Amino acid sequence: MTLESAAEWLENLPISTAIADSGSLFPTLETIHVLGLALVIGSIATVDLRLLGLARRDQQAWIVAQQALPWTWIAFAVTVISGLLLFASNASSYVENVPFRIKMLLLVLAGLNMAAFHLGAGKRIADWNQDHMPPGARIAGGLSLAFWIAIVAAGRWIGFANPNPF
Amino acid sequence: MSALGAFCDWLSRTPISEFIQITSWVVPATQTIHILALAMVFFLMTNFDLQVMGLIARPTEPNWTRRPLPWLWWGLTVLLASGLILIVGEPRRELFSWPLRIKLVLVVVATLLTVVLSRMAARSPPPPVARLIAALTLLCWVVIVVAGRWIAYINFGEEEGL
Repeated sequence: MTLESAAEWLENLPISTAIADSGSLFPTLETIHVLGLALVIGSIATVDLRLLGLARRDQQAWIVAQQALPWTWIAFAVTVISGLLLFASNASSYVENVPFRIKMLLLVLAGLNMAAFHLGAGKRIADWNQDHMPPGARIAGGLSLAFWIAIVAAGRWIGFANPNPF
Repeated sequence: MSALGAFCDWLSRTPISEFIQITSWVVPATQTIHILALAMVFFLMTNFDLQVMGLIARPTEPNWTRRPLPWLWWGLTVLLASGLILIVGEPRRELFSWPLRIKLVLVVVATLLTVVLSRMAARSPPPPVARLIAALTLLCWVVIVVAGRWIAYINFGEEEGL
């Protein structure tokens, strides 16, 4: 099955056509997507800025991460589900849309960066000198911040590129 | 034509508005900055209001109720500046928008309530009324984000004031 035929199958599902045909479902899902992504980005940025030593220096990095992570995961689930439904409503336009493709690639890269940090440099986070984050932590924090800023930008550009799924 | 309609049409013919209209990257770039700033403000304010409500653990530092305020001021400054660019770029779409009007009023309300809360909740434990105000403030922030997204969908600007 090609990407195009998979996209066509997806957008012809009853749930997808219901979203596409309704005037209010798409904006409602978009609103949920924005509320979710705000919490995802806000919680991740808090940890990134702590790793860079730019915020919450009075608090240990692992405590900042521990407080933020439940937010990140709950909000991420909400954002992914609403995003999938938005995608399904017009899948064949989204898969051809360049900013959308870049956004998906960036999401994978942000995930890999996070996994690398947790399995590598971040393992001994509680032992660090909290005033001087190790280079691995700063690199992971800086990369994460850059990826998420680019994800928001790519997401916003979807509606300004062709084929336009809106 | 209404005074607001005339103002919008004047604004949309200014060089700065025309620049925003013809330069394709300005609007998405400004919206990106707007979303990043709202993410920071929305996350911090949700966190703060839930802490005051006692639904998530309150920090133990004595100044915890004042700590989010500088971030709120910076965030609001960026949101206001980026929002203004979007208004100048499409005056009719924005200034005739009821979601935008509701949103702007609620931004003022939520900000004032947050300042009140940061003083009130400094007492330990916070008075019961603080929890109620925190819930109300959180509701305001949610409605602000919702209204912001619906500016694109509820629009009478093209018919009004013509």
